[in-house]
Amino acid sequence: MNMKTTIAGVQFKNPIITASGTFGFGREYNNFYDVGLLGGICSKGLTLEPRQGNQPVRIAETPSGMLNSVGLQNPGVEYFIQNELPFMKSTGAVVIANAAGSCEADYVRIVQMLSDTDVDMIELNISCPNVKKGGMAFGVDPEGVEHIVKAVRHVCKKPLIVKLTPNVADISKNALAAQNAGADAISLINTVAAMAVDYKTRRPVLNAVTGGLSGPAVKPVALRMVYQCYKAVNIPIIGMGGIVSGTDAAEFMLCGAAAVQVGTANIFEPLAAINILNELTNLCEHDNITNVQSLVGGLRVD
Amino acid sequence: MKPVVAQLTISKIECFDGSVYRVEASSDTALPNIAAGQFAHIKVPGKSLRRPICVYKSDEHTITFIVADVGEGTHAFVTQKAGYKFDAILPLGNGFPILQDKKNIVLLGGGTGCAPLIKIAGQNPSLHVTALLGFRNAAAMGTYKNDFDRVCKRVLYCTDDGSYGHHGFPTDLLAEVSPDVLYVCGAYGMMKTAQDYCKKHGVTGYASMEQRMGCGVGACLVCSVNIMVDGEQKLLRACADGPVFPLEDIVL
Repeated sequence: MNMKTTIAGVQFKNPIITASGTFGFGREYNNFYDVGLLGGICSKGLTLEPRQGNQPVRIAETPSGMLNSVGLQNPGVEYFIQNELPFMKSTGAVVIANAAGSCEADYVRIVQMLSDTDVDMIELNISCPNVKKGGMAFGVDPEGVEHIVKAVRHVCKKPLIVKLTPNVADISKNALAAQNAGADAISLINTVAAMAVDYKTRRPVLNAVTGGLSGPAVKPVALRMVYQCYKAVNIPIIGMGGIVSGTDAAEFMLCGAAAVQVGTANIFEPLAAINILNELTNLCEHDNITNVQSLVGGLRVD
Repeated sequence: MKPVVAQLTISKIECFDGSVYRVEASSDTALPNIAAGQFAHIKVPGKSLRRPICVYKSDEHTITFIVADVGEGTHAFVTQKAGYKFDAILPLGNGFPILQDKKNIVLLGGGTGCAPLIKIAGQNPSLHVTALLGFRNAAAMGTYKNDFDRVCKRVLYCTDDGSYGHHGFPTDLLAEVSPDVLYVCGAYGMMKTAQDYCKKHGVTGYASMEQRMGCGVGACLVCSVNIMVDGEQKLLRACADGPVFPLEDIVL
């Protein structure tokens, strides 16, 4: 059984990666299982300076999903490089650093700094819905995507993944813009802009009023978007959005994802990512799939 | 102590005042030691997110939770019957530091907030512990049976309606018991009064905080509470940095 996946020249031992913001820097979940068994682990969204994030309440449970409005709380890229990256590298999983910014200069600087480390890949977060200038300004239209990806491409010495927001008119155009600007891969979807209301108090549940919806509720939207992007670009796609089972992961791969990220499931269940990997492996065994990559783009549409 | 995912079965569930439940559960495999103030992240029926519930009592094969029916998730849980199986991640968070050199230990709890305090006395029989416990009414007190009386040197009960004990708040009695160290869990007003008392009298205090929680293990950063760290207000994680914080540092 071959579970290996190669994305932009980086070899993953399997296509299961943890999604940014749901896995810290891997330490917490390493208490429950060896996170080095996963294909990859992705850092919390990193900014140039440390960020405190939004005031609580930052989470709301909604049907088949949840909203968050963390607001990119993180210790800053320098702290990450000194204190968290060595641990992440020691796990043996592919290490992806998620880079976020509020202006072009920040993105360029943070990518420069990460390029001089031993992170394996950089994921450009131009799609955080929870920060006023969380990169969404660059992520919403194809021109913005092309502009920021070009700017960081000049200084980026690592394989570059561009993470796309679903809160746009036509995501395949943004995918294409990322490809044209030099992205090595794209990942999608980030959370869907949403809100929750408490009728009794007549207030929004989240202190930030709006947040990002994730979990199984967004899976059908994510599958559709991965499918559309797969038809539009020829760089690898990392699919995500509500994956909670091995079958979910396989569905994303059929729609064209070369690998998947598991996010909200980690919040529900600490063993989620490793369980999903085991389920996907068992699924392949059961269905006589000798190479998991044979699933990619295998959707029958006729 | 690394947390584990424990498989539990409800053995007994009781309600004394219509909204607060005493849930006893058993585990076939040995449970880890759980310190006073630590919590379990419980899977509840029909919900994806777990619910953080403090551990009231525990030994090798049994565990007791005090659960208030405050929303859809807790309601779905407390309406289960004996025999219901669920899983819980435990133990989580940092509990109450036990200061062996302090003479007069006081527990200050309100309603469901009494629950995380009892292990302080239960696990440290050598301490001289007084409990100031407040409830809506005498019926709500019943949730704890006479558990506090058995492990504390002295227990002063208070009710909002005067149906038992002191008619008023347990914070009214702080001056009377004059604590050297105060452990608090309860409503905002109780914590605020306790914080003011401790600041004024130079008393060491710790309080357990509550916040809407995600992963429970420190990774997702949603359960933030405002805490002063080296003179600067920070957003710390209730699950992993807390839920217990020094009372003087909590921004109320």
